[in-house]
Amino acid sequence: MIEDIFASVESEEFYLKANLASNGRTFNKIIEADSTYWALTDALRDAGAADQLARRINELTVSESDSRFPNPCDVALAVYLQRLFYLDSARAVGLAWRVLDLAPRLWWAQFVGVAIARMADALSDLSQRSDLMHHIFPTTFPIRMTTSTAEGAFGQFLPTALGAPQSTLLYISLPSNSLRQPVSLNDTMMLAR
Amino acid sequence: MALGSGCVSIGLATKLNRPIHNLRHMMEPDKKLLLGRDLVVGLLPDAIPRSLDSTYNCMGLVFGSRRTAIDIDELVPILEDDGYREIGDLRSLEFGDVVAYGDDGSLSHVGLIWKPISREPIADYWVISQLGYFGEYFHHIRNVPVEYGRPLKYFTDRRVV
Repeated sequence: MIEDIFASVESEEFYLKANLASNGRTFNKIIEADSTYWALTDALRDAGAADQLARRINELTVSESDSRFPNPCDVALAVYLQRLFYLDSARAVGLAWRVLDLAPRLWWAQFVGVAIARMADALSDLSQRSDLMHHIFPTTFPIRMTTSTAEGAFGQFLPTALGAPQSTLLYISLPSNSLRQPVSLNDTMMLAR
Repeated sequence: MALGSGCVSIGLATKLNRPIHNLRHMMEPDKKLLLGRDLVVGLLPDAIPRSLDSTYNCMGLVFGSRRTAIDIDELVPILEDDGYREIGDLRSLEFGDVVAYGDDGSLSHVGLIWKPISREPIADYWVISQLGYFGEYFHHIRNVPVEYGRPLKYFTDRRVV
């Protein structure tokens, strides 16, 4: 049952393991080394699973938690957004914005959400968007395109393991600094819309 | 609202005044920090906790005075700007030198050499490092979570006159 797998991904144990990472590459290594991640990946091959996953992302996005501490759904949201991106990238982009807008006190999910949103934004119309992105990240644009594997800042938060479209998508390399810079979400939202 | 709401960035720069991008992680509740400690000690039985704090990461411990989290990709520019040099011989490390972990050509973790355990026949040291976001530990130089890789490079800022 996919609900059982959701429970494992959302468990404290999985949260703790993932937070042994201090950067995106290690985060992906840790989650990919866990059987829970592969159980989720397998379960998502079933018809309708993407709908269930999207519904779960929506539920976690607005779930309440203690405002003094990091969002306990952070790791789950990060993993769910990653997996949804490879199942239904258009829907993942929409949900990534929603998560960034509504879910408070994120860490990993914030980086995944930004990576997805930026990638989609840049791929949708690079020439039109580049001036806007330059406005947001003045020190790191212009970007360079690469068709290699998921390297660099975006790649750090998108797993390269089985299921990742390593050669079918254009990846964009940016200095990782840009992901680390606090960015006004409202500005970003306005510019992206 | 800003990305990383609840997280803040602090002013931090290299010796050449290049900004070091950073973001402070929020403090986890004590219960989670204790569970994190149990997880670490389960994985690394000889690790000795020093402090349970989730507001900084390994890079933040070494280069941010435990005030913030810094991405590992900032390591090379910091080392260059701050005048570090690489040490090729594992046996000649001293207190305060930096060990960088990784594999496949990418770095994943840094720690500070704390104390030599042995230099011959196999060099071993106590290292102090922040393991993820669940605390700071003393551990043997080769004893880190497998996903971190292995000790790859060593650096020092020791200046000899």
